[in-house]
Amino acid sequence: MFDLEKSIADWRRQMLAAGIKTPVPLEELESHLREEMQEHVRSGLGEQAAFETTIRQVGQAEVLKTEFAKVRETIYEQLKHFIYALAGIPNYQLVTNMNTPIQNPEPRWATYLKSFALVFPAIFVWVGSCVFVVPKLKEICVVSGTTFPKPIWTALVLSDFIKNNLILGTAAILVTLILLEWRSRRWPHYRRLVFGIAAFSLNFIALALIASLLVFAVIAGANLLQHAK
Amino acid sequence: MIRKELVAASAEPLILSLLAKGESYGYAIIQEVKVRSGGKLQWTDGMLYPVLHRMEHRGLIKSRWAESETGRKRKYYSLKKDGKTAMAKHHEQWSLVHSVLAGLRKEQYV
Repeated sequence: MFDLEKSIADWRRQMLAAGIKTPVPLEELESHLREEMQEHVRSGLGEQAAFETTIRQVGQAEVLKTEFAKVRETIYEQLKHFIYALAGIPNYQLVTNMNTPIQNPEPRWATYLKSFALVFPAIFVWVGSCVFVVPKLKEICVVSGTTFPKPIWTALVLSDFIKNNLILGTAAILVTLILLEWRSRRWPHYRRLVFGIAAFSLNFIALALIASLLVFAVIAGANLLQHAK
Repeated sequence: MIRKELVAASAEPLILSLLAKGESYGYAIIQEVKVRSGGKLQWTDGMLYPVLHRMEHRGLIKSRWAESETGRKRKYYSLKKDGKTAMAKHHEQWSLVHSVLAGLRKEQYV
């Protein structure tokens, strides 16, 4: 049997846990909740259905809390929100973002598509260096008697490891993403940030790798010439 | 449905104009906006309150708790002097935008 008072008490607890303060604004929200519910009941909805509809209309505690927090914003908080906005965590700009219970304005497909497009050059460069550059460079090293400097050697070992376990690694990432999309309620807020950082790091690493390989190739090439003399 | 940016931008002028008719409380404000817009302007209910609180914090409106006829506690909001000034400014700006838009639209059909 549906117990209205108990459900409202539960709802209040959720709101309090999320940081909505009492008496203001929680009392006001509860007053609204009861009023709205009554209207739904009057229009023929059952008590439980009316309660659930109303709760949805009032909105999620976390979103509400963010909005209420903006009522009194210090300069420090404004700065923080500005940095969040730069990092792609939205909804900190407008206090009056009223009809958007979903915080992330960028749709999921857009994030995935953009990240793929951004990561593609890194993957392309990495595959290219794995297939063409590294084997040739190793050959040159053997002939000219040059040894790889330690950092580059470590990077190559690591790159080989990734290449050999590519299918397993991709599967692990895919499973993680599917789990996050499926189970995590907070993931959508961080999706764009995580993908942004990942794309940036991958591109940076790939560029650093190819640059150091090129520099090393010049040194090894010079050694090769000397060796040939 | 109306675009969310427009909904957000119109919230303050709408609330101010509604309160100019007399004091009101959250639920009634939402209902009135819904009815007057033919259901096309729909706010996530809870989101009205942060906006009201912010307007109160800025000194545009004031609030008081009172009991309704049915004995339910309600928080009533009413306009302050600064709110009236802000409303006038909003009206001026919105009618400017509207007249430019209407003028351009008329030219399309000439």
